[in-house]
Parts: sequence; structure tokens; C-alpha cells
Amino acid sequence: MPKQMMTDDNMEKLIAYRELDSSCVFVDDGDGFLSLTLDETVYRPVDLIRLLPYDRPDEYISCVCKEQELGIIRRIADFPEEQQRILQHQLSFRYYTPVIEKIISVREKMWFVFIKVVVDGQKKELCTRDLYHNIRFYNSTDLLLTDVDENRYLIRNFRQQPAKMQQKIEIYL
Amino acid sequence: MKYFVTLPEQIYSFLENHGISQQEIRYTAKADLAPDGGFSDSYLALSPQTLYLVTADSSGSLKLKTIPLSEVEDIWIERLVNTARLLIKQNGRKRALCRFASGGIRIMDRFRDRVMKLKQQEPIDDSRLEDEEIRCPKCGLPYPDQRRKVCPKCNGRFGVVRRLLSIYMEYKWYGLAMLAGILISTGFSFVTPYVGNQLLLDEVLAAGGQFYGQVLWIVLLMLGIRLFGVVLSMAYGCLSAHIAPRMYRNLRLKVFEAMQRQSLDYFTNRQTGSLITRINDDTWTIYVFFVDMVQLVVVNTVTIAGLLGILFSMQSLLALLVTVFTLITTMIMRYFIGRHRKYFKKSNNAVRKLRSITSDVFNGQRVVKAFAKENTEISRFASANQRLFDAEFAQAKHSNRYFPFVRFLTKTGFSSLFFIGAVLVVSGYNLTLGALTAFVAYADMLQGPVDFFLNFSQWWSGCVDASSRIFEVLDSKPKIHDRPNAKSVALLKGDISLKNVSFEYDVGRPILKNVSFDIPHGTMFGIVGKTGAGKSTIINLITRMYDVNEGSISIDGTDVRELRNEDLRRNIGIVSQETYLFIGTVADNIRYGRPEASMEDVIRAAKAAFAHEFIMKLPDGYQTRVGSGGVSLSGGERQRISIARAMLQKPPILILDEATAAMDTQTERRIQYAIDRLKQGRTIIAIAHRLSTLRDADFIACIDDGMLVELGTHEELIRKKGVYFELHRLQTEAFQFVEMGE
Repeated sequence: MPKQMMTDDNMEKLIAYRELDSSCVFVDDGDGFLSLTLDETVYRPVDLIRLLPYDRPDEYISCVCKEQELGIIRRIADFPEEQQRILQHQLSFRYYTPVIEKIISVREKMWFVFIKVVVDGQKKELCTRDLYHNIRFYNSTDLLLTDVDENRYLIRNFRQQPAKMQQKIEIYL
Repeated sequence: MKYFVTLPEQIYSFLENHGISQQEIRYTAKADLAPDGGFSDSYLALSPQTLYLVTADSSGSLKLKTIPLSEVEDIWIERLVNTARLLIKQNGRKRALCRFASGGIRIMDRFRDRVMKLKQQEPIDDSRLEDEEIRCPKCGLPYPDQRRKVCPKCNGRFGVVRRLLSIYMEYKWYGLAMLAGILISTGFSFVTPYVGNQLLLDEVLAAGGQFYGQVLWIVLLMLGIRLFGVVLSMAYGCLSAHIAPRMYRNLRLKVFEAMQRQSLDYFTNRQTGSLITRINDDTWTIYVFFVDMVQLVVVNTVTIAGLLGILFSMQSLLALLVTVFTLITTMIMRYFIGRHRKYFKKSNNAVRKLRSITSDVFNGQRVVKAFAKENTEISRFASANQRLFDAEFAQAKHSNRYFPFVRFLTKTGFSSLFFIGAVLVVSGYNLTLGALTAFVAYADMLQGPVDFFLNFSQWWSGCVDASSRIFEVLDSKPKIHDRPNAKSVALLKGDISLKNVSFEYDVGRPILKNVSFDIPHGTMFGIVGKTGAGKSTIINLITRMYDVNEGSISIDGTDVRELRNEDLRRNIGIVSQETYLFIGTVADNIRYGRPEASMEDVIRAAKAAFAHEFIMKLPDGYQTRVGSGGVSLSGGERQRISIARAMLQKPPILILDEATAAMDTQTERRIQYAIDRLKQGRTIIAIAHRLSTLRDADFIACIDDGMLVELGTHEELIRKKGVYFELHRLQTEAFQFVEMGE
């Protein structure tokens, strides 16, 4: 049998916009997977995908199970506290981005930019190419930096960082 | 044990304390993130029977997890947004084993692959890993970007300088001749202040001078010197005109040739604009280096040394003052230029942004007009334009704040020099008026070379950056290249075989999974599936635009990787869904694969592709210029030219990738007829969404989610009532709907 019969019902399901409300229940099963009980059916594993990760990280979150969207969470804040905690935990897990605490030096060598930073209390040297395209404001205050391996790092509250640190990066903004 | 990471001694000791010797470990990997975030290293070790995971708890104590391979049902990588994790299915239960940053996906994927192969006792081929260099062979540092094996340390500035000079040495005789010309010219320039000041004032115009009254002689001498200078300049100019464009031409060609040898992914991973910049702007920067900078560095160094020598021989006290003053102003200028560079970079960035918006809007004009968004785009442009203005204004403000001050400083310096000199003259300090004016003229000549070296670092930076981009192209090794003993085949028969082919463009995102099928010579083979199923990827692999990750593709019994690429591709004609017409005439485009074809052959191919009819209606027929800047053709017309191109080539293997997507049904039927005629003795692979295109196919393969789900004739697949049947049913219903509507 084909994986998905293209009946009218299925077509409707595919294009329908369904907002999930607090009647559905998310459970963190402790193995790093999330399950969702929706319409008396348990779906597992469920992935949460931010549809507007930069502007509205806690709104418009798609819930997907095996490449099929189950629905969209309009706002996490509309859910009970415990459910919010589970959702935020999953999102922070999925969207984990190391935070750069301090920029030590910025050095251009050939077409690479080597940036020595302190991340999570450890010194690291990041390498990125074409920094103009690999640094952008994540939101109004934080910067997102992508290295050659497509690892991303966050510089929180960029404008409140020491002036020297800002100067080193500002040229590329 | 060689792959993939070297475990710390502490980990080896820990494993040995648990009875796991180094000898039994076949492969290792490292994960650098803790389960809940934060950096924390954990290590994986793989022996023929067991998978080991060593982690550290919050107190730093090591813990060992042992997983017998017999219990591993599946192991895979789940990509998250910025990280990934290795998941395992053990005893029916899925769980996460470890977590790591995106940069580790490549190695972890290989480790994962070997886990499954050891479990299933399949052979493992590590020989290809031998060829892979993760680190620079010279200095041992890992390449910053593993996709491009270029070491910034070894290709650092000195390396670039050496390479630039080695290119320069190809033209060394011309270079030396130009240098000689400039040095002679410089030497003469040293004479001018002496003749025009000291000699004139002290010996010709002063009573008692050696050449008192001989004004005509001195004027003629000065004219003679100037004339010689002009002649020398002309000679230098002729030489430069002879050699400089040659250098530029040869360099551009070298870069373009190097780019042409690259594999397809080199172009798909880069913006066309940046590649064009390398050929035009970067080569120009290097050309300027050759023509100007090398000579100017030598000449200005000689000039400074010569002038200082002259100044100190004329009046050492004044010369010392000049030297000190020049050093002070140089340091001040360096400071200002350093600060100014920041404004310059910001300004450059704003220009790039503005160009990018302009290009974006012009390319998307059809959409802009369709949505009546002209004013929105004007606002967007205005905003970027304002940012450019702000950057340029800040730059100009900075210039105007500091540089007039520096100029004032310089002028003050000269005035002071003249004043002190005048005092020395009046005091009878063995310094004549003529000598003083000559001295001041020589001191003034010092300014030019000093300014050159002040700005030199910026020019030099630009040149080194441009050179390194050029050398990166020249050094890039194409991923797809002929093997040393590649077979040369003039004509292929067309028996194609795919065996257990798996492929992914990005690690962790498989496109094809274990696909196998045969395409006998002389058959028409259809491939269907929904968008993104992997159909075009099969074509890319058969034509060796990319190499398979696993499995093999062979033609006439030979793996395509063993064939010469040129021979392989000459034997395959492709008509793809994105039709590209080069700048040229219609006839040129049809002839692209067979430039020697006669006009009769071109017309026959155009007729067979049902293109002749519309070509006749074009303003200049077959000589109508098409491509960028030429006559605009519809999608269907471009596709028919593309089909004619493939038909003229008469390849033994013809691939049609949605070749009739842009055509109406009637035209499509006609093309089908032409293709049917071509079938004789030829292998045809056709990808189509419209199943009617494949009704005459000998076999049809259904690809779904990267896997071959069905294979058979049209009738067999209809009877199966599977994926193909469902696709067919939907299309038939759609057509019925259309007919009812009509």
C-alpha cells in the first residue's frame, strides 16, 4: 500500500491550519523525546519547530511527528505552567546555541576570520569565512555568528558589551 | 586504530582499567556537548563486538556505558538546529547516545556507518579515508573549512608573496627593464633640485659664481634634463603597455581555466557574483601589484635612501631635524589611517549591501510589478542608500577632521625647516641660499615615498587578499576528477546499472537510500516520484556531477568513476528542466555539443524537436541572438532548443529531466514521437511528473523518499495498485476535471 493515499481527507489535513490548545498534552519521556496526546492519539516522537525563530521564538511553533505537522502552538504562554516548562525545555534543547561571553581577539587571515572567544567558560577559537554574511542580529539585541562548520554562537546584548569588543565586530555589521 | 579521533590518555587508561585494550578498538569518535547543553566531551569507541561510551559526570568522574552490537537495531544521526545527536535503537527502545555540535556530523556519520557495518559483519573500506587530508600536510593544522583544503597558515602572507613573486618572475626581464627605466628616471630627478636651485642661485646668478651669467646654459641644461625624463617616461610607458596587459590576460585565463575544472558543487555553493569578481577585480588588483607596486617599492626605497644620503651630506643638522620630523608625522598618520580604515570598511560594506539590493530588485522586476511593490522597493533602496550615505559621511568627516591637521603639521614642519635653514645661512654656517632652497626641495621630495609607504599596508592588504582568493581557486582540487588510470571510451553502448546507491548532499540528510536497478541498452526508462524524491539526483550521479557515497553506478560494466569524465559526458545528452541558453545565436546553442555539425544537421535536429517552426518566426531565424541580453524566448521554446541540442549530439544515452514540463500536451506528444524515433539503439532515461510522457517507457521506477519502491512496466505497476497507480489515478482525475470544465 502506498505510504499516503492522496484522498480528499488527507489533502484537507495537509493544508489545514490547526492551532493546538491546552487540551493537548505534551510529555517529556526522559529519553530526550517528546510525545503529544492529541484527540486521544499519542504521537511520538514530536519535534518542535520555531516558525519565526528570530522575531517570535515563543509563538508560532509547529509540532511535527514523522514529517507530518500535527498543529501549531500559537503562544507557549497559553499553556499551563508545567506544559510551558516542557515545551521550553524541548525548544532550548533543539535550539541550543552556545553563548559567547567574551571576544578576546579578531584576526583576519587570508579569507578567514579567526575569533578567539570565551564560550561556556572555555577559550575557543572560531573560524568563519566572509564574516559579513555570517553575522547578523538574532533579535534587536543579540548577534548570531556562524562558523565554517555551520555552528552558531550567540553574542548576547551586543550593545552592552565592552566598547573594544563591539568595535572589533562592528566593522562587519 | 587510526580513525577518527585520538582519545586522550586518560580515556585510554580508563578503558584499559575496564578490560578494554587499545588493540581491540577499531574506531573512535567524540561528542562535545552535554545532553542538556554546555560543552562536555564524551568519547565513543568501537570494537568488533561492542560500542563503548565514556562520559564525565558533574564531578568529573568518568562513566562507561557498554552496548553490545548485537543489541543495536539501528543507529542514526538526528540533526537539530545548531547541534545533532546520535540516536540508537536498542532492544526496541530509542534513545539518545550523545550530543555534538554541527561541525562533528561528518565524522560521527562515518562512525555510525562503521557501527552498522561491524554489526552486520560487512566489509569496511577505509582506503578512501587514506586519501583524505583533514590536516595540512605541511604544518599539521586542521583545515578550517574541511570542504576546501586550503591552509591559511601555509598560504599566509609570506606564502602569497612568494607565489606572487614567482608569477612575476615569468616576466622578469620586462620587469627588470621597467625597473631600470624608473631608477634612471629617479636618478635624474635627484639632479633637478641641485641644478634648478643650488647651481642656479649660487653659481649662475650669484656674483663670483663659477658659471656667473651663463643663464642660457643652465636653462638649456634644465630643459635637457626634463626632455630626457620625458623620453624615459615614454620608453617606460611603451614597455608597460607591452607587458602589463599580457600579464592581466594570462592571469585571467589561468583563473577561469582553474574554475572550469572545478566540480559542479563548487558553483552551486558560491554566488556567481563573487566568482566573477575573482576573475575581474581580483586579477586587476594583482595586475596593479605587478605593474606598480613592485617597482614603486624598490624605487621609493631607493629614493628615500638616496634623499637621506643627499640631505645628510648637505647639512647634517637640518637632515636630522627632517628625519625626526618625518618620523613623528608618519606615526601620527599611521594612527589616523588605522582609525580611518574602520570607516572605509563600513563604507565598503554599505556599498555591497546596496549593490545586492539593486541586483535583487532588478532580477525580480517581474514579481515587483506583479505585486505593485515599486514604492516598497524604492523605500528599501532608500534605506540602504541612507546607510551608505551615513557611512560615507562619517568617513569624510573623519578625513576632514584629521588630515587637514596632519597637512598643517607638515607645512609647519617645512616652514620651521626654512626658518632654521635661513638662520644658518645668515649666521654664515656654511650653508648658501641656493643650497638651502635645494635642501628644502629635496626634503619636499621625501614626502611622496613616505606617503606611499604609509598607504602601502592598505594596498598590500588588498593585494594579498585578492591574491589569496585567486590562489584558492588555483589550488582548489576538483572533487570529481579523473582517476589516474581512467579508461578512455569513445562510444558507450548504454547498459546502466545502479547497485546499492546511497547519496546525500549534506551529511545527515540522505537523498538516495540503497537504490538498485538496471537500465538495459536500447530501452526507455522512466523515473517518477514526487518533488524532492531524488529523481534528478540519480541523473547527477549517472553523469558523475557528484560521486555516490555508497554503492556504485556502472555503464557497460565499468564503474563511472573509472571512466574519463570527458568521454562519459560526451556519451550522455541531457535535457534538464532548467534550460540555459548561452549568449549566442540559436544555431550556436543547438550546436553546443557538436560544434562541427552542418547547418542541415542543425535544422534536422530543430525539426525533430519541433523547434524549427518558431525559430523561423524569429527576427533573424537561426541567427537570432538568444541568452542574456538577446531575444526572450518562452520556457517551452527554450526547452525545444535544448532538446534539439541533445538530438544533434546523438548520444548513446539520452536523459530527459522534465524535458517537456513547459510544453502543452500537443507539443509534448510531438516531442514524444521524435524521442520514440531516437530510441533505436539508444538508452533513454526520462524523468517526468506527467505520466503520459512515460506511457511508452519500457520500465518505470518509482522513487519515494529516496528509495526505489516500485519497478516495472506501466501495466504491471497499474495492476500493483501502489504508488504509481495512485499517481496515475490522481492525474487521470485531474484531466477528467479539466475536460468537464471545458
